Amino acid sequence: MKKIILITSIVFIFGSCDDFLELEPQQSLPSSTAFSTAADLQTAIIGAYDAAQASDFAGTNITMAPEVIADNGDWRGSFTSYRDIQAANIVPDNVDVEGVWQNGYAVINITNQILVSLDVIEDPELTNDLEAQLRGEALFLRGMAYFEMVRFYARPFSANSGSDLGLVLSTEPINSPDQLIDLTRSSVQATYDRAIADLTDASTTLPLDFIVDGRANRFAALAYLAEIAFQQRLYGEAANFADQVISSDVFSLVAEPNIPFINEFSDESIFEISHTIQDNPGVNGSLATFHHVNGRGGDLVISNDLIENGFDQIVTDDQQAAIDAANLTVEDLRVTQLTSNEVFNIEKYEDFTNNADNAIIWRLAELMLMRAESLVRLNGVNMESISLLNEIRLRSLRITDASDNSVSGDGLITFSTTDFGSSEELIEAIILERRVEMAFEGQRYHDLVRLERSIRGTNPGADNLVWPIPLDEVNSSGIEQNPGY
Amino acid sequence: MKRFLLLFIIFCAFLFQKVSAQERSISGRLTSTDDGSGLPGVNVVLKGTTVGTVSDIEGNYKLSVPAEGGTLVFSFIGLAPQEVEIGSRSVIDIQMQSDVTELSEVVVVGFGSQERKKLTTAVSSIDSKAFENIPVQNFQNALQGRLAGVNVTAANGTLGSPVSIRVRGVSSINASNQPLFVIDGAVLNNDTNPNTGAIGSGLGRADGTNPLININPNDIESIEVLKDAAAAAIYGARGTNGVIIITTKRGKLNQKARVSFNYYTGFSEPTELYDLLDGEQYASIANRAYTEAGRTDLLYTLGSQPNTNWQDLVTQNGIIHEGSIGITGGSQSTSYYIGATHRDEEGFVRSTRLRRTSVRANIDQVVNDKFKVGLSVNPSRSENIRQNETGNVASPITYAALFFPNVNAFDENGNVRGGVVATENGDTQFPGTPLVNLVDQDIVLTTSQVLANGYLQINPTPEITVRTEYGVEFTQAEQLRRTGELTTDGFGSGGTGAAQNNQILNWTWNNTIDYAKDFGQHSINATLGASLQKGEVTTQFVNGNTFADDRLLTLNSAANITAGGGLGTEFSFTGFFLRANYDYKGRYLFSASGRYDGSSRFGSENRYGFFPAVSAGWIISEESFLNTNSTLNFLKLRTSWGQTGNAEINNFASRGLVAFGRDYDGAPGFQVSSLDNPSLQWESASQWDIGLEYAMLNDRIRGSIGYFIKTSQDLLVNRPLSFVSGVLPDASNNFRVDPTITENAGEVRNRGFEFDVSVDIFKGKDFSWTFNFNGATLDNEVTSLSDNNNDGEPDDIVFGGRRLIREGEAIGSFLLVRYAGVDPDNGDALFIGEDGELIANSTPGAAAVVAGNPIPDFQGGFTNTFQWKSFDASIFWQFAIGHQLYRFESTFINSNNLDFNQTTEVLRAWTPENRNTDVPEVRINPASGTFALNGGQNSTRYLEDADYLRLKNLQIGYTLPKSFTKDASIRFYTSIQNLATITDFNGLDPEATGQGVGAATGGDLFFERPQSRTFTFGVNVNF
Repeated sequence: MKKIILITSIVFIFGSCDDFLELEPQQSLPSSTAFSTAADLQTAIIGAYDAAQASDFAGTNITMAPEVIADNGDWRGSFTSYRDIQAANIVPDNVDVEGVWQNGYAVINITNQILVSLDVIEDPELTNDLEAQLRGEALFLRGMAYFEMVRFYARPFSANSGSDLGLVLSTEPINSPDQLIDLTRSSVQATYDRAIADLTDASTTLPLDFIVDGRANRFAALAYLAEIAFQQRLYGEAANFADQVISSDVFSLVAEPNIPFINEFSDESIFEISHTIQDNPGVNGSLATFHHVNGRGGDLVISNDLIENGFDQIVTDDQQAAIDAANLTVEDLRVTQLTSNEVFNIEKYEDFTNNADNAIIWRLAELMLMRAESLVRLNGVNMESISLLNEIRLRSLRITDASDNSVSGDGLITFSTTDFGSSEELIEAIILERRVEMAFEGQRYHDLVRLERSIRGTNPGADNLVWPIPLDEVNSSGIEQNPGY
Repeated sequence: MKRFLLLFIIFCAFLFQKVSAQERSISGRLTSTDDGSGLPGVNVVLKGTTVGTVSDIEGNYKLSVPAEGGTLVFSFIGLAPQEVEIGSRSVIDIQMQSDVTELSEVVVVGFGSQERKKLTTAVSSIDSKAFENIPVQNFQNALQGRLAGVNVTAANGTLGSPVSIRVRGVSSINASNQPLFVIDGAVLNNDTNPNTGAIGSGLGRADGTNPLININPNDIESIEVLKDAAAAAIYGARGTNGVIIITTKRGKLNQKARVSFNYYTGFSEPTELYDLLDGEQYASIANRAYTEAGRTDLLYTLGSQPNTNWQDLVTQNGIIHEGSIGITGGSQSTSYYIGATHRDEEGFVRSTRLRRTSVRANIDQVVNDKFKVGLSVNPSRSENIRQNETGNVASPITYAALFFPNVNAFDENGNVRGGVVATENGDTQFPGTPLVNLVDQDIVLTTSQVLANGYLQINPTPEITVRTEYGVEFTQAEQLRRTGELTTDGFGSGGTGAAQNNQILNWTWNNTIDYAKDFGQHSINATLGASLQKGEVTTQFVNGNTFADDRLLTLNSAANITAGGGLGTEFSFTGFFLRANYDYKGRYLFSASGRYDGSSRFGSENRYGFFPAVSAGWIISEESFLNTNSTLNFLKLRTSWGQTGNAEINNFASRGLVAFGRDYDGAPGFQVSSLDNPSLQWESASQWDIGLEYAMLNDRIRGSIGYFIKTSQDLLVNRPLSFVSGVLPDASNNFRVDPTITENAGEVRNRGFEFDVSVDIFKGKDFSWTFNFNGATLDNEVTSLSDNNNDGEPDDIVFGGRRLIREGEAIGSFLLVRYAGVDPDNGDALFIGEDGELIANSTPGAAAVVAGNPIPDFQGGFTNTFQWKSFDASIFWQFAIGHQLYRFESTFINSNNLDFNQTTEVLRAWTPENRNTDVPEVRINPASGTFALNGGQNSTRYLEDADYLRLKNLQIGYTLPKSFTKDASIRFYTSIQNLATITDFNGLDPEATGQGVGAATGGDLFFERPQSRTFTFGVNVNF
């Protein structure tokens, strides 16, 4: 009997060991202590970039979705989410609509965690420079997220923006589900203001010399400020911000238009989302999957509209006649280098093998065209605008003689003030140039909205062009859905 | 069973040791009709006297009887008693037939066993005989339709696919609904959740393979299912979904070696395939749409279209072989079972094959009258040559249904075409073809497993048994995958390769003290115990691409290593339990149990829980007013109540965590992956059960009927969190996962009747006919949900846009917009809007209605067994009615979207000449030339009743005459699985769960491969 008692006791002592139930996860840490040192925050900011890097956000969709909505490309892939986006017939549980929203708010939340933690932690490792860098990067990413999202989920910026529904503005870290009760949407104006405030702070906080591939820098923040002003049709501010980037002389146009896409992080590049062989959106979400599948044609292919009203119009009839008369040939490298399969496929994103094309968010050419257009709108036909435009054209339009030797295009394909009878004509020339130069880089929809031009037959701001708030968001937090859904 | 047998023999020996010395001697040998072996321990009594004896080990007996003779009565538990007139004979050899009536069975109940007669809880059992010779891949399929209230459904007909088992309904929203599996006391890993370490995850679908595939059905002696809470409460926090207890075969003491050999071979074919358009049909329907939209540039040349039947090219008659041998026996102190099985089965999908080799040795040793030890070792290995899962477009059946019929599968040189294959007008789908994906792709999952159990049992006094048992499962699963550069998955990457390795270590240590004693008319049996379990899973994986040559198979030949990583996770449980059974006069039965359980999975504030149960039974037939009734020979009323838990959630669901591996540009990063919930605890279920067990007309009719109400509370709910939380949960393969928090909220009620009945319709010497029928009804309702958005209403939970958890509805109901057919005027697909108005081609979310649910109202099975002389036959039907299935694949192949092939249904599509139809017009978007959405939206158009009656197994056997085989028995048989199905369901197979075998949201089908029809021929030899 004693033996039994002994055995029993041993068994029960083993069984009641509380440590046995105290297990810790092996690839996670408690969130309560994760943001407490300088090293933690340096890891956290990478997590914020990773959230932005998701194909659902800046990795692919920030670049591709505006092109799917607009008129440069035809969607012919099997993903019904993009098919419906192109048809402006979106269901509230569209997976891409949900993906942009989820990853956008993931960026916002982790940057909130970082920004709040920067104010409270005391760590000698957190030098002033490091603090400025982390704060600037966090502000940049948060401002970027708010701005990119408000353009999809809310009515375009207008005189009614003070009352049009914007985003849920969150600036505090979320640590408990209780903080998610009673969420409400702010106005479009308030969302823009938030983005402007964040990016303005970022543009002054980020150390001037912090220019690292794939990371935010002061000029990327200025580029966003330029774009925000542009979108608001505040052309003076847009011209000014664009000029701060252009005249910094940190960036320069590269020799040929395909170089930024082949040699990523080129001299022209201001901010890119980095993808590598090991870290990329994979075959179901990469830019190359959608734009360039070897031989087959991607899911998004070049539309006839882009060919006829874009590529084919770049060289004016007068210019073509002069070139023909001189027995010369003109070639647009943006067509010959960056398209294939009889101008069907987009070759800006060609790394189908590894799905590792970067998403170029800002490059110098766009800022130049933005300043050019803004200046015309401010000052009418002017030399600076024309020379910015010519610079872009000269890089891509190659003129050759009969024996295939390059001939300077100056005067042949460049413009002068006398070519334009009105500001409107010059503005149209810049918009055309912008359409071709920036094709499939995520600008076309936003341009058409700003210009208040029809998008595949629908006017900007129509209910069915504004994305729905994802169904799961409405169901879980009860925030107000957009009209028409 | 064996221990009981041993005790019985000893008992009988005591009883009959006084043999009266008399005039003449009778002797003989008692043998089994089953296999001719000698029967030890059989009582031989001279009728009306106390004169008797028991047979020895060889089955021989010797008895002195009065000169005038008399009648000998031969009886033994589990054998049909016989009475024989002695007459003038001095040698009487008797063949005795086994007669395992349910009542005499001993039932394994978890940490012990009980006589079925005295059981006060709902436990179903199935003997291995029920699935002998039936070519089932795994023991789970063998349970299908056999046990009332146990719903068994394979996810689909893929070799090695996981199996969904629901014991008494669906009671959990987010935790698993799969029962707990216990083999010889050790808890098995049945995890199909990739976040906690499922085997073979990451193939397009997490629950791709069956984690229990290595368990060999031939080693199984019996399977018990603990259905009610009072039975399952001994497994405490893990008992809510029922417990399936597997007991493997063991030898008996004092038994000559018996060898059983079984071999069968046969072939399998799909029960059904899609009826798809051929090349010309496809082209002419497409042409009409092109013409209508003015895109004559896209027209196909009719009359010269290639025609490829891709389904034919990717299917085959799969050959199947299985050979097994089992040897049992025992000396005075050692008994053993040794079994070995090799099985090799090709699927009806080409390039799929499952091979399994398994060996088991169970050895028991009586050390002395106080000590007994035992050891079981079961190494096994399976090799599953797979194809992509059905959810992946590159899966053979899936892509064969989707791909254009009007392209050639082979080039002019007879080589299989791959890469980009376009139709005449340049239309393409994905790179690769269904055929090249089979030919140039290898996916092999090799699972090596060792199950081992050891025990030590001490009986310090006859009443007390102290037992410690330790069981360990070690599983290593390695999946190698290689895709050629012309396949869908390998295209453009120069081929891809991936290797994944999972290691699972899972151990259970049980310690029990059992006390059993009779005090006159009082009988007590109490068990006190403790159980510890720990599971650990580690995973490593490497992916690469750009292979120089498709013949190079290993990652060493890949130019780029594109991904690699390692993960680990673990969980632990501790439990203390006590169970006491008491009966008075053998007819008033009481039982009570309690278990105190703790788990690492739960929040620090709620780590332990207590699970009580009580039950009682009354054997009415032993009361004086009934015990003389000759019609009703057994009647028992039993009732029980108990509480159980469900702990099957992610290992660290209660923690607020940041997850690493969220890297960017080569630098390490983390993100918030979950919010904190320290109060998280298990789901608890209360279950009340009442049942009546009966036998009448000398046991010719026997069975039971019962009713239960099971209410699950504090459901573990992954409540969708607002995305504003910024939570990014762990995800695999770049798939985005919605943020959720696991909370205890809500209540689900299941209730139903269960019955089973067996009738010996005819019982004669040359002919017998037995009929078994079991069935169960189920009524499932979500009775409570929480209100998180403070609108005063309980919140619906919607999965995937169309699976609804709503108060007052069955769990996982389908939420769909109603399809209203086709507008005869213009061919538009019509849907019913919120206010009953007809809307063309728009799916307003608010107009979705609850349109059905996948939980059958009534299901079961029935078997007719015949014996005529040396022939035997059994016909087993299985059915389920009162449920719906959603054909999600139809949003592709019945959608009028000829960017994919369509079923022949589209031949009925609307045209100006054919206005009254249920299939909308086929249209294109004129600008892009792609096909337009007209009716292909998710809607009730694709939801259907899935009632079916299936002839699950037909078996005919012939046993060679004894005169020819002497001591051995040889039986030849043929067996056909899934011979016929009666159903109106238009999908491939009404018997499929679709994705998520553990989830509340089954019944959503996406190209699920149908079950196979399998024809086998075999032989059993016993000697």
